Amino acid sequence: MTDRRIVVTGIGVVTPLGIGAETTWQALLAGEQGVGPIRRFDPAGFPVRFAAEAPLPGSGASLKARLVELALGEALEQSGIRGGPRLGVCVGSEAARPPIEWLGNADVNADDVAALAPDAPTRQAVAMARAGGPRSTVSTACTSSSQAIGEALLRIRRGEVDAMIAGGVDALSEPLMVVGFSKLGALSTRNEDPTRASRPFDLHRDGFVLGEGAGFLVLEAADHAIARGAKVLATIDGWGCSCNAWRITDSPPDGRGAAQAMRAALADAGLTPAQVGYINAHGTSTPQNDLSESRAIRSVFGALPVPVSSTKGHMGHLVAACGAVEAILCVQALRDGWLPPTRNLEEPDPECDLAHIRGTPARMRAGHALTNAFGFGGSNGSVLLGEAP
Amino acid sequence: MTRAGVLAVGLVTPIGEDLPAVLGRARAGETALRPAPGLQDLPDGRAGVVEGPSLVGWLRRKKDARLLPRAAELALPAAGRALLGFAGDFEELGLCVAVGREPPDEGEAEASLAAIARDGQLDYELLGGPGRALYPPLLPLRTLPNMVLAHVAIQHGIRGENGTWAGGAEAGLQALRAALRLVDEGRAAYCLVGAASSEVDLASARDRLRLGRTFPPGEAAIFALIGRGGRPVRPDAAVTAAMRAAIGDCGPVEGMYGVLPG
Repeated sequence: MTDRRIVVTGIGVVTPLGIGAETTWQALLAGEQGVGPIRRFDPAGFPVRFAAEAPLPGSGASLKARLVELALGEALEQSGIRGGPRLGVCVGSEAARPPIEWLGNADVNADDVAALAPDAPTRQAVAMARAGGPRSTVSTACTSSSQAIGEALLRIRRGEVDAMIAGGVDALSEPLMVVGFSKLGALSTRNEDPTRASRPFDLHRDGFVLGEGAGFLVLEAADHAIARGAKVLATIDGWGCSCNAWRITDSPPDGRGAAQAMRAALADAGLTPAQVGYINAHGTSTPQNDLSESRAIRSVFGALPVPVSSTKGHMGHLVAACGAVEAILCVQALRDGWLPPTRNLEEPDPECDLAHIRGTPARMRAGHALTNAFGFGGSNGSVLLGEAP
Repeated sequence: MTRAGVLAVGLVTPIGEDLPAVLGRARAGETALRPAPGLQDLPDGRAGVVEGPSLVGWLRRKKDARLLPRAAELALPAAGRALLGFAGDFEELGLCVAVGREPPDEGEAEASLAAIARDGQLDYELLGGPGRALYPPLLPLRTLPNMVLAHVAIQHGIRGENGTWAGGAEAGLQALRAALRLVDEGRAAYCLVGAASSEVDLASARDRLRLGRTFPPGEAAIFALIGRGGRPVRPDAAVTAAMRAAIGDCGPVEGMYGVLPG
């Protein structure tokens, strides 16, 4: 009998906290943070002069390529998986921004244009993993890489493939994005105190912090992983997804779309809310998102005191990469029995009345963890993970 | 094999917005490729451009029109026609969308960009100052790849499982595959699946040239409502080829003609 449960056999990240999954995890548990003055360009005169940048040089498409190279390389090495026609790839990403100097300049070569496309990281991942199976690129803003995990799960479950590379990448610390998102009023403007700017669920939160990073997981059918002797790090048990159908930037105040996604993930996994031991919230630190998500969590979990934290307090918002990176943090939390706190959550907003993990990590075997990702445009994704058997 | 039927189709193309008429024109070899304003400097200078489309009846609020990138303008009527008469639960209606290149800013940022250049080079200090004041606040949202999905979901009230697939012509087939999977596994009772793409602006045309693509650009949107049972989905390569020849190269849209019945 085949075992089509989905297991994680490799993880890799680059985040503002460091290069590598273990470096990031240990920094997170130690309470470090990755937000600081913008180094990619001179932000003098900008309304926001800080970001959560990855510890790598470069910018644009070349930076994204380097993020993919390091994060995916780590995941592939840990997994030990080999390429072939039964290995697929799904990456969550957006287009890289063309350099401003390109405007009106026809003398740009085709390779440089192709490197900007949303599917450039997918093509890179296919080549790195020598994956001959299906490949796809999903692009739903902050939900992108959560969705990539969902698609990978469904493909493996159906037997279309034995294994999938799933992940995401983003790098938005660049001039037009900083200007654009600050004009939308989405970014924190705490220039005088950037390390305390990203403060999910705090009463004094004022917006998110743009981040950079990449996260990749190797997902496999359990029987495939067992047959090749791979070490199982965690299981992916459920995936839920919904649309708010509300507004482009706002989520509905009652959190109905987010709640629908969480319920769908629970149903997909065949679990009850009481079986979830940790919620890794999307928790962007914007007034609207955190309030809406809190209400959504309350509507699904009721009075259950499920521990909740948002790791964006440490590393800002990695946008298209956040779903994958935060799923990887859940893998580590399930593995080690430590749940990370929400950094900078000093005075919890009474309207965000959840069982927040504050101050220091909580020692707890969660059993199952739920991680949320909600995007501009209204796409919601929830991934349910389980402790390795 | 996934068993799903095409229950309704809506489309917006340069050769019409009525399915039988469009198919008839495509098979008859009619073309909508014409000299396109603003693209006359390109080698061919022609494009398949949609006149309109009218958004009357497809927007909940008139003021929402200012948020729409061109591909979403095409998508709203196409999706709306595919949903006409749909009486199911919108929470169980999935939405799978394929898109082409990232939506261009249609020139909106140019005033800002002009204000930030000094001696032909980007000047960050100017961008943080006068350039910022000229930068359209809604621009970042208009240029996200998932804006077609977002606007179709918002305007038509779709709340089920969803996704946007990007990455060239194969994106349409990825979206279709995902939609079939949703319906086949009961994750959605029905799924609206489609694609929208527009490459008839100058920025897109420049990128096409840089990529060595000389076939005239086009724009179109097509959506199909699929559900379990009914007629199996089956590609129709002849229609695909005829459409492409008639309206231009619309990126992922071409792959989607495989869902047309017949």
